[in-house]
Formats: sequence, C-alpha cells, structure tokens
Amino acid sequence: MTRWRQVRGGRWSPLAAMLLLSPMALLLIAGFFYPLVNLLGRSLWTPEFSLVHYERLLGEPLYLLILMRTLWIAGVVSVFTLLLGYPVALVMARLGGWKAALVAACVLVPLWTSALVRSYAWVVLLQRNGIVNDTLRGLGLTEQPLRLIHTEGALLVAMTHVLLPFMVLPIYSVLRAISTDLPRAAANLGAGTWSIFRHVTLPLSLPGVFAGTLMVFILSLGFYITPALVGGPRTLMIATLIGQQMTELLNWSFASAIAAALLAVTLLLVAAFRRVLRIDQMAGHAG
Amino acid sequence: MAELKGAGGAPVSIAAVEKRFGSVAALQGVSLDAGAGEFLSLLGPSGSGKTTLLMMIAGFEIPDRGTIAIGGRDVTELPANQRNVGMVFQRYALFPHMTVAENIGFPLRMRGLARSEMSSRVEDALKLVRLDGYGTRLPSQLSGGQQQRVALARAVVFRPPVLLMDEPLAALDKKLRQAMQLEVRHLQRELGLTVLYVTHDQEEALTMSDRIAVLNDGRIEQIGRPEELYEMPASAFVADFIGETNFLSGDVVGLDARECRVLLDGDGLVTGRVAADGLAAGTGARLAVRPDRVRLGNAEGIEGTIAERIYSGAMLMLAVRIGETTTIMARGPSNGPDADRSVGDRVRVSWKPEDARVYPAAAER
Repeated sequence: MTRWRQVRGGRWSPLAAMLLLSPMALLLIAGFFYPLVNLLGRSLWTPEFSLVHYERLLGEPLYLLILMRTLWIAGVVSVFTLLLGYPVALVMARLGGWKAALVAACVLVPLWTSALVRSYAWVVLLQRNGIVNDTLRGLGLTEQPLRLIHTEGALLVAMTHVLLPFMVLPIYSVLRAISTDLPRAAANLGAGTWSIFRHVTLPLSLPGVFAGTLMVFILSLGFYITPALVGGPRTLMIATLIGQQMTELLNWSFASAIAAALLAVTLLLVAAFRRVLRIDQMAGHAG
Repeated sequence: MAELKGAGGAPVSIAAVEKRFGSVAALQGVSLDAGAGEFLSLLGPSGSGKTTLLMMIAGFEIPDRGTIAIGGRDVTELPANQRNVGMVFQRYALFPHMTVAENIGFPLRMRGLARSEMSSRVEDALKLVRLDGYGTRLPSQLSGGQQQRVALARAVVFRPPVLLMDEPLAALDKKLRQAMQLEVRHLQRELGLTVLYVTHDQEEALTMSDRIAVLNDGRIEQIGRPEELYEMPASAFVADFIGETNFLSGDVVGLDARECRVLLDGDGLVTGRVAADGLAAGTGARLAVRPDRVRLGNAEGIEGTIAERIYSGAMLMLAVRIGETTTIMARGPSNGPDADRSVGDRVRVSWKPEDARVYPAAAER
C-alpha cells in the first residue's frame, strides 16, 4: 500500500486534501487568478510591452491626488469605526443572555442588508431635499438647503456606517475569549476599573483591534458603491476611478494599471501591518 | 525575604451570610471565624457554596444578607480592589501579555510603589517561590507548577494579611500537588498569613489545614480540626465526605446516652456511638465505621465471606460480604495479620463500639 493511501489517525492523506481543496482552487484560478493576470497583462502590453499607463498614472497629479485621498479616507474611516466600534464590542462582550443577543443583532442586521441599499438610504437622508435638510429647515435652523450629499463628510459618515460591523466583530470575538478570571485577578491585586481596562483588557484585545482595522482599511481602499453614490465626483476614490475608466471611457489598459497600483499598495500595507500584528501576537498569545 | 513579611495575618469573620442566584440558594446562613494566621479549608462537593463564599471574601460577589469582616473591619460591600487580600485562582489567572516579573509587580504598580522598591520586592517574591532568574519569561514559557508558584508570589508580594486560594492545586499531577501542598503550608507559616483554602479534595484539606469547614448545600455541616472531622464526624454527610466509610443501614433496637445498638437490614446486631440527635428505638439508623477500624477475626462479630481482595502496596483492602446486600470494607497494612486471607474465606467482622458512629437514617435534608 502506498503511503498516501494509509489512513492515519485524523490526518488527511495529501490526495484527500487535494480533492477537498480542488473545487475552491479551480474557482479561484478561473474566476480570480486568471483575470488578475490578464488585467496585469493589459496594463503592460498594449500590445507591445510599455509602461506608458504607469507613467500616466504617476505623472498626472490628479491621479496621485485620488490615490492619496483614497488612503486618507480609508485611514479616517478605520479610525472612526475603531472609536465607535470598540465600545460597542466591549459592551457586547460584557453583557450576557438576551441583551448581548440584542446588541449583536443591531450590529449584524446592517451586515445582512446590502451595501447598495444602505448607501441609497444615505442618499435619501442627505440629498438636497432629503430628510436631514427638510428637518433643519423645518426647525428654522437653516434657510437654504445645506450641501450634504457628495461631500467628504457625508462619505466618511456613510462608509463608517457600512463598515462598522467589520470592526466590531473581530474585537468582540477577541474580548469574549479573555478569561473572566483576568479582570478579576487585576481587581483583586488593586486595579480599579480604568486600570483593569488599560493594563489587561486593552492589551489583550489588540489582536482583534489590528484584525478589525486591517479589514476596514483594506475594504475602504477598494470600496466602490458608497463612494460612487454618496461621495460623487468631488470625492472621487480610486475604485470609482477604475470603474469610470472601464465602463465610461472603455480605457481598459489604464484601468488595469490603476487596479494594479491599488493592489500593490494594498499588499504593501497588509505586509507592513502583518509585521506589527505578528509581533503583537507573540506577546498576546503567550498564554 | 524578611521584606515580604507584613503585619502577619488578620482574622476573617463571616456572619450569617446568605446568597441566592435566581432560584438557587448558594449560601444559607453561613457563619465562620478564621483566626489570625490560621489555615482554614473550605471543603465540599461542587455546588456546596464554598467558591461563592470565597468570591464574597474577595469582593467579587456581594451577600444578600450577613456581613464579612477582615481584621475587624466590615468589608461586606467594599470593592474588590480595595480589600487588600491575596488570591490564587484555580487556573492561576496570570496575565499572558506580561512577563513573570511584570505579573508579580502588578499589585505593587497599582499601589504606586517606586520602581527600585518594586524590583527588589519582586526579586524577593521570586526567591520565596524558588523562581529566581525566571523574571523575564512569559507565563506560557513555564510549566503548570511554575505558573502556580508565580501566582502564589503575585498574591503575597503586596503583603496582604489574608490569602484566598481557590482549588489552586487541582490542575497539577499528584506528585507535584503533594510537593506544592508542603510549599504552600511552609509559605503560610513563614509569612504568618491567614489562609482560606477552597478544595473538594478531602485528603488535601486533612493534610494542610489547621481547621476545616465542611460545606454542603450552602450550609456548614461541621467545622473542626482534621482529627475531629475524621474521628467525630457530626453528620453522615461529613462521615461520608471525609475519608472512607462503611455505611450500614438498620433499625435502632437499643439506645442509651452514649451507645446505640442497631439491627442490620441484612441481619446482625452491631453497636456504635450516638453521633447525632434524632435516634429512637424502632427508627431507622445508619452506622458508620472506617475501614481501618474494622477488625477481622474468627470469634466475635457478624459473619461474612471475603468477596474481594485489593492490594495497593502499603495497604490491603478486603471486601467482606454480609448476607445478600451488605458489603463491609476492611483495611489494614499489607503485611498485617489479615495478609494471608483470601477470597472465599469465612470471617467474622467486628469493631470497638467507640469506633463506630450511628446517625438517624432519614438523611436530615
């Protein structure tokens, strides 16, 4: 009997593992990897090899501005979701029974609603004759409708709202995993509520904070629907730019070059972030 | 090491404490006094309320009724972080993101000690538990026994007058547990601490304690020195929980102030000391006798057959079958007079009346 056919306690033979992985692998290769390679190819061969699209991307200040804006918005959204999401995760982790379930539902229900619907809801709220403007005028606070939609502020609020669950859930799951003995031990040793949080809960929750921040940041970088609907042309983000180049200008090669640049920036940030994450986990997992 | 000696122990006084969790009564009127420097164990099965009681002394639970005082000061509703009692948790509860030295230094840091004072106290504490040189390791890099000793050092480094321990040795293997029992006892004497020690292991409680409080169903069944509990259990529960006991059921046929004669269900007349109220001629009774007090012979006592012979090194246990339903265990040294008895032999079983205790059958609660 050959080695790979032996069944050894609970371990899959390499063949069985390959069989189990292959449907997913095929899908990824056909649906993701091939188009990606194809995309990269289009940005470099037109049809001869040329860096002309990359030169245009880096040479034109507008495109760099859009890239910087995208990074800025992704950064601000990450900070906002962290500031809003951490307390929610903390409360969820502390509560028990139906109360925790209720808060969890409040966090999860938006996640089950499509981002498109939620973005349109923000449009309805913020547009020129929308609910917010009508209310403000009704109360006599403003005479003219304020310009709310298609501003950076509106985009930040809407994206924070849409991406909040991605911050809350990883932090919550890490907080839940902290043994209740640890805060108790800290209290027993003389720590007050703030000290317990500062010295025990917060440092032990950092892996969740990093995971949530990374997820929100990367999702923000490539976010398409909300920036397109709520942000408008004045707060053009990179994904929207790619979409324009493809669907409106049919400039597939240039769109590919921008997409490749976005991918490179994202991978770079993930790699940088992972280094921080790994160092943290060495300390955090020691236990 | 002298630096770790604080003002010695403080007395702990618990008066008529009650606690309910929903419909479950965890503690029903528990009163208990631990003297300064005393090693008092809280012994009982799970759900007996012993851990709840400890959590109240630590300040993690507030009693519904009753008071708790440490060193003469009422602390019933004082927050946990102001109580200044040390505690060793069952799973050590070391902070995984801090080194051993940071863990031990934590209570000192919370008390705002100067850095130099702190590190010398931490060094002393590490020496005390024989872990000098381990300060820079993380808890995950230590064995279970070492983690236990770090938890112990952390719990005494701020010189608390009272040390609470919640089954601290339950996770260790037997050899290590026995070594740690001696170490804990030694440390307690060295520092003069009052220790309240929760355990479900009666052997551990007998070995370590000055006194033991046996808890059952949220009440204290008996408090006493280990010998008192073993020799004179106040209830059938205590007799059953502490050490091994043969229980024989029957009816009371004769009773005076000291002794009680019981006619066993499986026939045979036996005698024991009256151990509890509620015995009367004609009522049901349970007679308890330790296997090591049971004597085997050929002349006197009730007759039976040896059904099993269990050899365990130093000791030999013989199971004697009496009638249809009763089995009496007898234990003696494996090189003793009963060493050559074998399965199937007919023997007579007896004991001195003062070695057996009779309790009413209708198990009180």
